[in-house]
Amino acid sequence: MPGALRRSISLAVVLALSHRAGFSQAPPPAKLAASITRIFGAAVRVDSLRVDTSTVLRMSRADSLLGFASVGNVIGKDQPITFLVAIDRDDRLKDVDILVYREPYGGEVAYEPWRKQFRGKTAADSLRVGKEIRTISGATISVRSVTLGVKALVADLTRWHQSGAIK
Amino acid sequence: MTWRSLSPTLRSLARWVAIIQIVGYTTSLVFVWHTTRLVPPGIADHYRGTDPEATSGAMQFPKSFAEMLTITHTHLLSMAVIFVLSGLGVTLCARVSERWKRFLVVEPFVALLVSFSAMWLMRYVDPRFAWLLEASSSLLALTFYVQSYLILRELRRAET
Repeated sequence: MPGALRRSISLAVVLALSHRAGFSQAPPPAKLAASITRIFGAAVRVDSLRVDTSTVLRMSRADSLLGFASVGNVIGKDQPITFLVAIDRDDRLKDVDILVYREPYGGEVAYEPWRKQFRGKTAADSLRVGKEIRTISGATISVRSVTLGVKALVADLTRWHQSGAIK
Repeated sequence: MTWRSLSPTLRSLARWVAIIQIVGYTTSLVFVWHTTRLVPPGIADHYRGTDPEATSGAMQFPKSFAEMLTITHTHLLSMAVIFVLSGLGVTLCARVSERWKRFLVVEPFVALLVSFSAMWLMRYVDPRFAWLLEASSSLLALTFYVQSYLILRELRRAET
């Protein structure tokens, strides 16, 4: 990983921690960097942008915008679930990643078959559990929490992008 | 020592413990029916998972090793406490023969060991062990309700 890229990812990681400070939980920097690489590919430039009290990560390659991402936290049954939402430059949901899952049950929300249901969705989609988003047996609370969190974060990212607050 | 020789206060305590245990056990069976329909294929799917692409409705993923450990230790220990209480209740029944008492007291613990062994074998060896789990769990539930009936019948008669 080039030094400049590593620095920009590290900066983004630090700033990402302040997102939604109400019950913010820190994602492990290595996990956040790996998630961004998995979703946007290698050799991606990551810049952090401040919007209101939130931090948005902007991903680009060779001056071409790839999309935006943000880290959020929702409460599962008892513990916060730290997740990342990424959208492409057309505001379509690129992917969701569970960065930290802390409870003994319900970790299946991190599994690929469940997460991939979100891909291609937009802020206009209702993302109702049991309708557009299938639930998981034994992980109902986590499914509802993460889905609501994703819906809110996609709405924020889309609004900020369309208003020019992030570009 | 029988229920009749114990104080009315202890008999009241025993009656309400038995009632609460019946409600709790029945609730747990309703929960299991909700998740597995109480049939061996449903039980196997619940623990071994199903192909998300081939099914609709709620996704079912294989239980992880950590989840299996959590399910085993929480259920095994809490159910052992339930059957210690109901076993003590049966022991104090005067109208049940010693042979039946001994069977009713020991059977749940054997069934618990068989059930949880079957659960692990079903998860990691062969889904057909779900049939053994179904059989031993059914016998366990039947024993529990027989125990509860005998205890409540004895307590009612001890009041007259």
